[in-house]
Parts: sequence; structure tokens; C-alpha cells
Amino acid sequence: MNGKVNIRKTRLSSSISSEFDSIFKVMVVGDSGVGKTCLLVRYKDGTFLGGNFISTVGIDFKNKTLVIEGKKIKLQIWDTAGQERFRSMTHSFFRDCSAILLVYDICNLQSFTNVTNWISDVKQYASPDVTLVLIGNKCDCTTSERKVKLQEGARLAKSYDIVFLETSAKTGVNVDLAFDAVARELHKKSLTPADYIGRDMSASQSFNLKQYVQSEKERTTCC
Amino acid sequence: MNEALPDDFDVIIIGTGLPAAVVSGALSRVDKKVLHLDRNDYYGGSWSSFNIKSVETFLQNPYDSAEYLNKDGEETSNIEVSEDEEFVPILQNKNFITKAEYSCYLKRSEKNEEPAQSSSPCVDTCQSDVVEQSCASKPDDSLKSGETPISEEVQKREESPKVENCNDPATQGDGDSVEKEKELTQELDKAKTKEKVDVSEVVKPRFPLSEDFYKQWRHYNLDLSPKVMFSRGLLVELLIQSNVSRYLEFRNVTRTLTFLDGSKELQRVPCSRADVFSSKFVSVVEKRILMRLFTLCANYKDHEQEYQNFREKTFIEFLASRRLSLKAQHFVLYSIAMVSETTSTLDGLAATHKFLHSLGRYGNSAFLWPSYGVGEIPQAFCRFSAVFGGTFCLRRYAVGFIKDKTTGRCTAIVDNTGQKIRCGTLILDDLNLPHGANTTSTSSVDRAIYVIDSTVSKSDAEQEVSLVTIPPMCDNPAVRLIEAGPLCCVCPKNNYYCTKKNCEKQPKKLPFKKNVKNCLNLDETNIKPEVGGEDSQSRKPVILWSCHFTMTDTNTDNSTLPPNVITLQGPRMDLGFDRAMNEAREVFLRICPGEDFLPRAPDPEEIVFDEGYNTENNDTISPTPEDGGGDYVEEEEEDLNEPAAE
Repeated sequence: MNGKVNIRKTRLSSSISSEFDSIFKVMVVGDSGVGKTCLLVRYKDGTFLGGNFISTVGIDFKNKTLVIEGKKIKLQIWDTAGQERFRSMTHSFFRDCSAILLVYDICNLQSFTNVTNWISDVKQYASPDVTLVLIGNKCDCTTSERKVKLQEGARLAKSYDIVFLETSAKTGVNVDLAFDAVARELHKKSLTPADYIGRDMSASQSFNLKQYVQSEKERTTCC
Repeated sequence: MNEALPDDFDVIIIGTGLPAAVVSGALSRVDKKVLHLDRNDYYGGSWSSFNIKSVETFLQNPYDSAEYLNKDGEETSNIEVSEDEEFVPILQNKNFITKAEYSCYLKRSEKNEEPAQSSSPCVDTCQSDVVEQSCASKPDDSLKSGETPISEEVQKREESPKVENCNDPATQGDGDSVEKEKELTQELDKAKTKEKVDVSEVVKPRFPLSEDFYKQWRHYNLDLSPKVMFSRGLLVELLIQSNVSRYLEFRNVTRTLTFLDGSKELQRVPCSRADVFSSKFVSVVEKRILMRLFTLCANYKDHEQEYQNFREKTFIEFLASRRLSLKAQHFVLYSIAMVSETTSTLDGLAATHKFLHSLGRYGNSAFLWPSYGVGEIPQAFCRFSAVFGGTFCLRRYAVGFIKDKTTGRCTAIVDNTGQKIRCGTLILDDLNLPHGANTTSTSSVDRAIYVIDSTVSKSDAEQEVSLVTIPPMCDNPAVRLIEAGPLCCVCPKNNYYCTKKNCEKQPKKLPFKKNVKNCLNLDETNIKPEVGGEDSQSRKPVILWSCHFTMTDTNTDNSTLPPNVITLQGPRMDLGFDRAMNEAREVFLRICPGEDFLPRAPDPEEIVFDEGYNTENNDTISPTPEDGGGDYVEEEEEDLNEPAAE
């Protein structure tokens, strides 16, 4: 694209362009232990990382390609690689990313309080028009384990005017929805007026991330 | 967030400069337990890139106020050590940036202008160390500032690459002025298409207001240590081999420019065979001679007889013996080999060979430039280290280390929260100096960064990055300058930025600046209330913002340190990264003799998790380096530099 030099695999990159129509970088951020990697693995591989998988080792990013309105959209979903633990993210990590999933753990109040800090990092380093989604993870937990109410999450999201939903990487609730909604939103944003010519793009044009999430959201079991 | 760190590591690294980051990545990759700290809240240390806001903050105060030792050398807090231990403080290297200053030459909008400032409303000068008045001529304050809506204006202000360079008779007035090696990175903003239209039909003030300039602060990525990558240099090979390249993007250095003796215009240096044949500055006879030379240099080791008699002589004498004209000698010496007149024949041949070898691998160019600036590279290696389990903590550093008196080895560090963290090896980058160790300043480099409004040398094609050599004059070394345009994501549209580098030990400050400005016809005094409609094709580039600083490299004498404390060098003034990469490899091999240095990391598709995966059986994610060979062959562009024997 446009003179950029890919020193890694010139051959591969040219063949790859036929594999998808557009590619977007999505980041998953949030405090340690809120389940970022689990969300990612659940979405990509459909499995749950249980047991004593403690911190992120070896997961850099995952690719997932989906088809939206006949277009192949490739999401490149980046994990934090454990650098969030001491709030030492490499800033270049935020560059170029089209969407950020900001995750907290509904059983961990601190992770919810820290959402504000994460948002300030995003404002500082990410592009101003990044798509931001707030996610309360672990909604499979019991009522007694829950420390952050659904309404509190919704209120916070509203104050920043961003989309919110609760998910469970363990059961899979709303995980696909979260990423798919992001992909649809990014697809919509990427359309140029030329794309509308001679095509019925009314569905994309009228796509609204919030409404989509609202209508598709599965009820979380314990709110 | 002063959460306690884990307290036992194989290796602790203080500072995130490039060699430190590479070592960190390499150690994590072979499963060493690495803790990597940096006192700053950004990565990269002396290799960082900054935006306009952060570079100004940095230049005002490059050093952290927190110090373990106070001015009198007394400890400001007590570290408890046992009888057979000794505490050795680690200090900030406060010599690395000096004489820092910056100025913005743009005018503030009138309504915000306070009467008191009206005498020099457009200049913000910060001088942290030295009394050097940079803005000899301030913009006339009678300028009318824009009555145009600003945000729009930034976009439109210049159309980009016009400029006839250096036709100014005033140029090069003082002979002593040329002195240093500089790199001038300019980024050129060109939102050309849009702008050209605007400029032609709308009469607008040519320059943005400073408010508008600062509104774009985040679009700048200005390097403290600008360098370019040889396409076949060690860094490129390492990025490919390790897969770290997936975090980075690159641009071609699309042209090499220089001044020929006596000429005031920048000329394009013919590097490849294609260039030589198309260059109009080289006669037909010269073309043949040059091609023969390139052919020889490409395989110079096999043709010793050709330069046998010049082993004891200089490269330039050798070039003269090949019947190269003065012009061609100049091209080869300063812009291709990039060596000086005193360089020996063998060194000159080696340098030329290196250049020719890199040429043509990625486009018709020998160099690559990292998009978003050099500061991306250490971050990429740090990210890589983290992916392989390295623990990273910014705003945290070692106030000192604990040395066992009996073994003489370092056993632990004490961080700035007072926590003791054990380590097998301690690595310090160039900004962290163990107290009491012998340090010497090896070289100091004067650098300047200019944001200019158009390219230094107009050309038909849009240029991404240009490397400009200003030849030495009057005993002063050459100045090197890198100009990077907006395609490189280092500046917003319509601006360029330039960094220049100077290698003198005793920098002559003023002439350096003057020299560069003269040679390039850069002049902040050009900011006048001209309007855009005027003859923009002949306009010179104008400096909108500039900074100057001196960077000093410090060498620490390792012999006085415990054997398991290793110090790293700073960026130095070399153009490429080979020295830093060699250093990183040596340090890695010293800690892990015989281990693989940055073997290939698996691609994400190769990491598959099974249900119930846990960290115990992580064999499943182990990379399979041997299967990397197949799909891993880079498809190389035709080797334009491979000179065919005539």
C-alpha cells in the first residue's frame, strides 16, 4: 500500500491482499487478569483458557477474517502481552489501531475504577476517531462474586458515549457479538462515497453500533 | 501504581534504548526471566521519538528530578545492606543532552497576544543550558496574523515541494561554517492535491498561526537519534530473522542528494546503474568509469590486484587513480561510501561495498527508514520481549545495586520504591551510570531538528525520505541531513522536518547552525505576511519550528564494575544500526553463550490453544524454527546494483 515497505515477506503480502478486502487492527486493553486473552482466544479459537493460565505469554495478536456484506474483513486483534501489568504499554501499540476493546472484570472493582485511566491513555496515544467499546467480562459469575453492577458499567459507558456490553469468555456470551459489532462498525467507517455508487449499501449506511449491540445482545444471566 | 515487582530475575535491564531493547527481546526469547525498567514514562531513552509537545517538554528538562544522590553526593535515602555487601548507587547520565533549545517561529493569533509580548510575539525560545540565542532574527511582529480560520489553514499553508534550493547568494557566506555531520530530517507535508487547488485560487496568509501548528502536535515524530537502516544491514536481517518486523513499517530513502563543489544546488547522487545512466551530471565517459568502479567495489575482495598499490593510501587517492572526475570522486566519497578524505582505501572500498550491497534490495535505494521514526524500533523489541514473558515497568528505575564483597558480583538492585530485586546479571543503558565507574565522553554530536514547510529539493516524484550530504569545507567535517516527508508519518501534511547531526568533539555552535541554514536556504526570517498566491514555485523552504541540542556519548569502563554488570553504549553518530546490533549480540552471547540470538518467533496462526490449555504444557506454542525456511524467502527486487561486468 502506498509505498510502504514490508521487509518481512514481500511475496506473502502481495498474495495476502487477495485474501481479504480490508484489514483492521483491534486492541484489547484493560487491567491484568480481567480476561483479555481469554476473550481473544474464545473469539478466535472458540475455546476457554481455564486452569492456571496466568499471564500472557507468547500471544501477540490473532487474525480473524469475517465476511460482512460480501466483503472479507480481517481483524488483527492485539493482546497487551502483559505490559499492562505495570501500566507500561509501548505507545506504538496504540498507533494505527482502528478499535479498542476496553475490558474490566465485573468481579474486580479496581479493574472497573481503572477504566478511566485506560481511557486517558487511549485519548493520549490512539487516533481520535478510534472505535471504543467497554466490556465487563466474567458475567458468568455468581451474584455474590459480582462487584460491578450492569447499570454502573452502562452509566460509565454513557458518560464517555461509548458502547457497552457484558461478556463471558468462559461461556462465550456476547463475545462474538462484541468483535463482530466492531468489525461492522469499522467496515461502515471505511466506506467511502464511491463505495455507495451503484450499490445498495443502505444497510451499512444506517448501521449504528449501539443499536446493533442493543438488539443483538444476549441477556446476561445475572444483572 | 507502585505495585511491587516480582523480586527475582535472571537479568534486570535498566533503560530501554535500542541495544537494551534488543538484548531484552533476545533474552526473553530464550526463556530468560527478564525485568526491564525505565525511569521515563516512554520507551527508547536516547533513541526515542517525540511529538512536538513532548519534545519541548523533554528539551526543557531532559532529566528526571528524582535523584538518589543529592548535590553534595549524599544519599537521600538509606539503603540497608548487610556487612558483606556494598551498595553502589546508579546515577542518571546528565551529560547526554546539553545546550538544548527550541523555537517556534510562527505568530500567535492577535487576540491572544498580550501587549507585553508584542515585541517578539512569535518566538518561544527555551534554553536549558547554554546561552545561545538561536533566533537572531525574529519574525517581524508587524506581521498580520491570519484572519483566516486556522485549522483549515494548517492544511493549506504550503503546497509542498517547491523550492529552489540554495540559489541565495547569501548562502555559504562564511567558509568556516560548514562543519558537522548532520542529519536533517525533514518531513514534508504534502497534502498536495488538495492544496494545490487551494493555493492557486485563494489568497491566504502563507503560514499558520502557532496555535494551529501546535494543534497538530501529535502528528510529529521527531527522533533524538535519527538513523537510516542499510537494506542489508544487521538490523534489517535481525528484524526479518526474528519476526520483529511485524511491528514495524518502513519507507524507502528515495534519493541521496549532495552539493557539488561550488554549486549551490542540491544534486541527486547517481547510485545504481540506472541512476548512473540517467544522471545528467555525469558524462558518458564518466558513466563508464563509475560503472567500472562499482563493479570492482561489489566484489573488491576478489580483485586485490586492482588496489594493491593503494593499501597504504587514502581512498580518495585511489579514486583519483581510477580517473574519476572530481565530481564523481565527490559523489563516491561523501554520498556513497560516506567516508572522509582521510579514510584508507580498504575502508573506503568496504564502505562502498556495503552501500552497493544494500542497494536495490527494496526499491532503488540502499536505505530504509522506519515509519513513525527511529523510536519505533526499541518499542518493537520491547513488545517482542513482553510477548515472550519479559516484565516491563516504566517510571521505575534502579537507585543502585548491591554488590557482594566476597564474590565481587552484583546480587540485586534497589528500585526507586526501595524494593530489592535479585538478579543474575544487570544491564545498564547509556543513561544510567554506576557511581564511581570511570566514564569517558567519546563523541558529541550536534543535532538540530527543523520543521520546514516544503522540501529542500523539489522533484517531480513525491519523495519519502532524502539523505543529504553537505560536503566538508575548511577542515570541517561533512554535515548529514535526513529529510522525511509526511508519507513517513513523522509530520503532518505540509511540514517537513530535518534533523542534522554533527560529529565534532568541540562543536562550534553557531557556525553549525548558520551553515545548515545557509546551505539549505532555510530561514525563519522568511516568515512574513506573504500570501499564498505569489510565485510559490521559486520559494525556499521556511523553518516553522526548530530545536538544537548536543548529544554526548558516554563510555563506561566496565573493568571497574562487577563482572555481571554490563553497560551499553548510546546511539553515537553512525548513520546505521550495525554497531548497536553487534553490541546487543555480544551482550546476549556473554549472558547466554551458545544460544540462538533472536530466532524466529512463531506467527500467530502457529499458536493454537486446546481446551484446558495451561502453562505447564507449553510445548504446543513452541515455535518451529526449521519450518520457517520455506515461506520465509523474501522476494527480492531485481538487484539494480549488481553491476554487470563490462
